[in-house]
Amino acid sequence: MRVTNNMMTDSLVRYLTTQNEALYERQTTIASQKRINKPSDDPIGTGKVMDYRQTLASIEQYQTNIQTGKTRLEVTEVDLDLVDDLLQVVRGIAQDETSQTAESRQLAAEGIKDIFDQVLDLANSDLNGNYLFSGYQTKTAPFSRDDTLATTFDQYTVTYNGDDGDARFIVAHNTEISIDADGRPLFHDAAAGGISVFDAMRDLIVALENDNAAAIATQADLVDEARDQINTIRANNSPILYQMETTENYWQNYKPKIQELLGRQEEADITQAVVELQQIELAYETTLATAARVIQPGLVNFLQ
Amino acid sequence: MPGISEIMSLAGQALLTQQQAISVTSHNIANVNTPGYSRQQLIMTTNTPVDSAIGPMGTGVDPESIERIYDRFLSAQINNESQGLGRWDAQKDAVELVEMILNETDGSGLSSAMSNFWDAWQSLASNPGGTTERQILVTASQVLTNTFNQLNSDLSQTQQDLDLAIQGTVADVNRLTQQLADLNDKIIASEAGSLVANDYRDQREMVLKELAELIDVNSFEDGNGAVAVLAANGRPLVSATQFWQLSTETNIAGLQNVVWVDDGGNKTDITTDISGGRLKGYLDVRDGVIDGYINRLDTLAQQLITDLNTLHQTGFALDGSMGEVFFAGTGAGNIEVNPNIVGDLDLVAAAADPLTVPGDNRRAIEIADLQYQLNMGGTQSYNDYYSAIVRDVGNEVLKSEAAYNHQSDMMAQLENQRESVSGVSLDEEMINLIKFQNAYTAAARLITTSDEMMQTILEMF
Repeated sequence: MRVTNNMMTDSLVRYLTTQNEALYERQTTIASQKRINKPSDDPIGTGKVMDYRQTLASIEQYQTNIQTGKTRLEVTEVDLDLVDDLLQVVRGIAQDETSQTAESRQLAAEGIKDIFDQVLDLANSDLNGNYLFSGYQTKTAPFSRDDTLATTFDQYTVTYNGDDGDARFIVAHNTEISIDADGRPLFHDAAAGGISVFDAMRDLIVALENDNAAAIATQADLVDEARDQINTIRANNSPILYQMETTENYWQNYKPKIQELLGRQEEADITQAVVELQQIELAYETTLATAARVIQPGLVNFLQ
Repeated sequence: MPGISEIMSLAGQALLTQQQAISVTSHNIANVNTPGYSRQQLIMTTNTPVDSAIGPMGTGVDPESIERIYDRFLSAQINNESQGLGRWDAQKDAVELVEMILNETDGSGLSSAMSNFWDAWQSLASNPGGTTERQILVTASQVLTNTFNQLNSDLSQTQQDLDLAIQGTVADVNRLTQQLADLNDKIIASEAGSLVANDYRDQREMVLKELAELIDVNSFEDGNGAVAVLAANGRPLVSATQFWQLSTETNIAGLQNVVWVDDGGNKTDITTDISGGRLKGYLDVRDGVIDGYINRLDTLAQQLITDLNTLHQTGFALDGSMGEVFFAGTGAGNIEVNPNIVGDLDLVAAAADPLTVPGDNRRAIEIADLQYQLNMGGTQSYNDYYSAIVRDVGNEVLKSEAAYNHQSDMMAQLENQRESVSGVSLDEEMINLIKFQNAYTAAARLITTSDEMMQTILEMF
């Protein structure tokens, strides 16, 4: 083949360009530490990376949701535990007062009024501004009583202002965990055949004020039943908490796997990139050296 | 039998011929780096011999013509491949722009905007009455709609940019066809009487190749040496010294179509007839590739608008009122969060019943559940649908790059062959130079010799 000067220079330019491109690609890989820097680097891989990212974002959101649900259950538990303690105190006082004087009973009635308000406060507790026991009516205090009414009975009669809604938390694709937010089964279930904690305490206060030993004893038992009612629900809450924790553990185990898949898909094998870089560098330098030797001389240089 | 004076004139002719050869050599050397230049060669033949008693006697050299070393077949091949090279070069550059717009690999973009949007609905579900959650949701929704708008306008902008490239290319085509007509004119004039206009022909080859990079051309040489050029399904662009212009006209989509203008000034739309060159590349990306992506983004945005609004409108706002549309707009270009909702966060309808606000999150959960439902044609989630778009962009770039690289390798190969045939080798020229110089010196020597012979004869008297 007839070879001309331009063929030499053109092919040198072409090879140097190719090698520069390859150098640039490896450089980008090493600098970004990523195998995929644009969709065309690996179209299928790009799709997978996007999937994994979405999954990770969802998992993080599920974890946040579960955390919120768990916090709610834990706060509820602390709350109800305190209510239980208080009711135990009330029951103790009531049992004690079955054999006390009228004056003592008056004093006890005042003490139980304080406890009544404390329990009412606990039943009205909120988490981040949302009442825990008012169903969907999260901005409405679930239980209220009217201090301005004439009789102790009326003053300590509690009304429920919420509804039967529940709090639901998304914990996985299309999966929610519900926590009953209706305050009535806990505190005020007389209408549905259960016990009203508030009514039991109210009646106890009235019995104490009226110095009615028999009624006091009856109410003491009712308060005890109210405790049972609350504790049954507390017990029912623990499987929900368990379910949430299981789901949380599941995501905690699942997340690193997705992260690993994402990494495998997206991250560059730096060692390989560096080895390749060295190979290309070698080829590049050799081409440069060849260029220096080949394109300079010609017959012109040798004619005197 | 020739006399001494004939030797003298023969030597004179030889001197002139070698000088011409040196002149051709110097022309070659001077043009060693001229693109498209074909090396030239002085064709020398022997002069008509004269009869003599001992047979026909040579009368020296005759510089017959200057020929360019050239392979017509290679040239046609190069023109052919130039169309492909121009097409894929344009297509590659254009789809790489699109890829930049739809680059999701760094974790930003529509995909993450959608993720954040769905997550915000979940957050709202966890606290349906919360102002912060509502604010986050509305902000995430606005980021999502802005991303849709941005993608749509970036893609449309790329179409506009391609339009400018198309108009520029059409102007280039017109300039080149005019040059071809001019060169035809010059070649016809200088080739009168079986001469060959080597340099003009080289120039015309170059112009033709440049034209082939822009549009599909079909060219042939007529009897006068003029080249005729047809493009886009047989429309004449150049015939002898006449040329026809291309122009552009705005189509119904507001983009530029390419038209061919005939002698009477009538315009014919040749947009879909163009089958090669940069114009083909630009048109394909503008009307096929980008248009496809814009439509698919629109489909995605429309489905999202419909699904969101259907659920949201059966939901209830914090004030117990029926949910309004959540997204306004009809596609990716104009999707926006309902301005009423932006103005009043309470209007986000998370509840399923007017009486169960603010704690009811049932509608919010249903909306959050949309994320993984196969609402795009029953087979894909929104994210699946979008990642298919991004994947296709990647594949499109790969395809264009592969086609371009193939075409460019082929071109390099052909150019190499052309260079091997027509290119100037300095070594060769130096050898020729010395060869011709020696011949020149020898011819000069002939003159001195014949002069001395003449002197010798004169001294006899």
